[in-house]
Amino acid sequence: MMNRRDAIQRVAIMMGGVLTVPSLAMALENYQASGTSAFNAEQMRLVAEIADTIIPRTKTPGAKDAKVQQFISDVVSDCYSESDRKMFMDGLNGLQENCRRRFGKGFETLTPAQRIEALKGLEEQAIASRNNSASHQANLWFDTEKMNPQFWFMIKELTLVGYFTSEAGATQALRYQHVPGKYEGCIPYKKGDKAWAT
Amino acid sequence: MSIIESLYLNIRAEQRNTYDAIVVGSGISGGWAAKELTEKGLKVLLLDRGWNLEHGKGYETAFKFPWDFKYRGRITDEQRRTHPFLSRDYPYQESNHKYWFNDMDAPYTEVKRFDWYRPNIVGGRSIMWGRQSYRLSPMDFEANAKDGIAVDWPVRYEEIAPWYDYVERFAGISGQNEGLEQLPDGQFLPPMQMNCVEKTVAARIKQNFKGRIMTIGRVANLTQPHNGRGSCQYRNLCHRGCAYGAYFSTQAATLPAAMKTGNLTLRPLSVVSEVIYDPQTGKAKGVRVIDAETKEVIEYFAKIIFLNASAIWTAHLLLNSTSNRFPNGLGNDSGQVGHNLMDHHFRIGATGESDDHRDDYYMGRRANGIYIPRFRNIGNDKREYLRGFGYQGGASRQGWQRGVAEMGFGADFKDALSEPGKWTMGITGFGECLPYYENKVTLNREKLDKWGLPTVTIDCEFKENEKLMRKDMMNDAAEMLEAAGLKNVKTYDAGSFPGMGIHEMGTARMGRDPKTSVLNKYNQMWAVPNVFITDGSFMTSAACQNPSLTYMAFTARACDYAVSEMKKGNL
Repeated sequence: MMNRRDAIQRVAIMMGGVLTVPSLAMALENYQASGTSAFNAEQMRLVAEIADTIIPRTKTPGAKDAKVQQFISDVVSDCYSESDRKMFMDGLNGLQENCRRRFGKGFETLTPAQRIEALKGLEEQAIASRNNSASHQANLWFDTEKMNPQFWFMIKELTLVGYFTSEAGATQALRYQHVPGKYEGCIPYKKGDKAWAT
Repeated sequence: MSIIESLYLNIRAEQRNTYDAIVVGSGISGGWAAKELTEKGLKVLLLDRGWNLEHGKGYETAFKFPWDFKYRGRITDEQRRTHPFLSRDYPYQESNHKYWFNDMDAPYTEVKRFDWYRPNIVGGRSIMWGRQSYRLSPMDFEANAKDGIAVDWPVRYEEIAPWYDYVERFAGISGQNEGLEQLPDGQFLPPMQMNCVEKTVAARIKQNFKGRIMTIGRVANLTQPHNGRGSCQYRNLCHRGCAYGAYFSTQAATLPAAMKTGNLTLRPLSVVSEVIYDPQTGKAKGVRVIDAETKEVIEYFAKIIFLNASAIWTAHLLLNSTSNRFPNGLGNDSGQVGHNLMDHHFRIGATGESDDHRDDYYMGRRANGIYIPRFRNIGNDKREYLRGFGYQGGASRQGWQRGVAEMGFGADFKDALSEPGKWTMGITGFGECLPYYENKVTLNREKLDKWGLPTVTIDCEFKENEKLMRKDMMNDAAEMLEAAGLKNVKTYDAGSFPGMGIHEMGTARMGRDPKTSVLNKYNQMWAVPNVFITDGSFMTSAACQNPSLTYMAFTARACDYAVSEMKKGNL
């Protein structure tokens, strides 16, 4: 008979606060970063619009207000490995292709509802591929033949990190204390109170 | 110049470079050696290969906001290239990258993966350390003798206990006395608080498991002003350096004390290449230094020498100090120098979620967690492996980071992430590693470093005993969290390579017999009596506790002994 301890589900989980997308062993092509930024002006605007769809302005500033696109550009240009950078750029191109095919125009000119539809299509692919459900993937409208759908988790992670660690995000969407001065282990929380930024 | 004149100049130069004591390395143990020796009236030269990070004003990033960091903490692809070893794990970050050694200046060779985190600053890793401070227990000092493993510690707990008292009183360790045999109480400042979930889990562990408790971490962070240093401000940015001096570091604590005596000379950027042996006297007469920047070679002389370069650098220094008397390295008659390399294995345990305490939160960023002291192989508990492990961990409410893996985006998603998520708790085991002769550091004379010195080859692995222990480390964690009422309990094993614990030790062990050990019970080299080694090298076994406090206690004791021997004319 299985004892209590054996019954506990044993799965490996990832450690640490922020998940990172595993870099896939993709063939290296002769991709070159253009100057200091991996993005040209058009790609920079595109990234800004994607980020702002993930974190829009509400009662608090949105991703574009917090200039998250600049952070994304810095990380993709300087911190990403060559293969991750290629995966990111291919992802941007793939998203644009899908938008043109489905809506007849690029992401940055879509209506808010279409933008959400486009990113939902990408997200469904990303989750299906993470869960390794090939049959489900085949039924989705978003075509990821020329890109890795894990691009979704890349840009989503960069958007969340860039936003919630920005001054606007940390001090307005969250509560930021530069020098708390004390630690109190148990204080009351009521629904609606903001989370600590860090 | 006549021969007489030239001889005279040499003598003058030698006098100018002569001190009572030389301390090699200014980290946790080297800082203590400098403090103790200068306070006893010795003129001390403190050497470090790193640059001079000055207390307070040197901590350039300490007060930066999260958004001041271009990459929000990430390191660049270029930094990964120049720091191929360091960049494999978290300690090397955008906010403290200047504190770390450039791996390319002295690359090392891994027979098997070994993570070696080298600092490049005065103060060494006392700036970036985890600050958890636990005593070894009577059981730990008796373990090798009882198990017939390696050699017996030449010291028992009773002898070192007063020195633990002594260093705790000065360093300032906050914590809770629990009256446990396997984790002796200490001279603690008031403990930090647990949060609501931790309190609940602690109470349930106590109810459900005989002999197991969960206590607040014993940490070298001040919970009240102490010896002129400020108390912790709960920013949890310790690894950037603390201008309040609120955690123990060389810069905040031991260096100012040593400076105050007027007896200390600090020389940063000093790569010590050799300890110079004098066959006439049978003692070391000094050290040879290469200036890290100019590469000028300078010799310094002293009556006694303390080696505190950290376990692997100290082994490197001994092995590189060859002479007719010591062809295999200074004081290496036993052949043990560089062997018995140990670290703790960890990164394994369990996590769970709590549905309770939805109306509770906390305030401040506690630079500390909880601790579950060892309970395996104690009393009647007998496992299929030797020794045991403790756990570190903590509970918190999830932050915005949860959103990365969750489905969703947009306005509602954003607003939900503005509020704290579920309570989660995780614990990770820290297990004892046995001393294995074949886990070793050797010199690679084929591959030289920036200063023309041999590089290091590391051949080290965890073995069967550690692997068996890890099963318990994982399952016991899950069992306790389940019994504590947590939901969705999951185990994990993130993999643990030696070195990752940053507790490397054992490369010049102490013992009772010069044939099988390098140091005697006072950290004194059997074969070279004016050389003392009080960094992690001396550890005869690892225990499972974080070791720095033990290095402090043995350093203070060795300094006391060395000076009393000097006064008796024995050194």
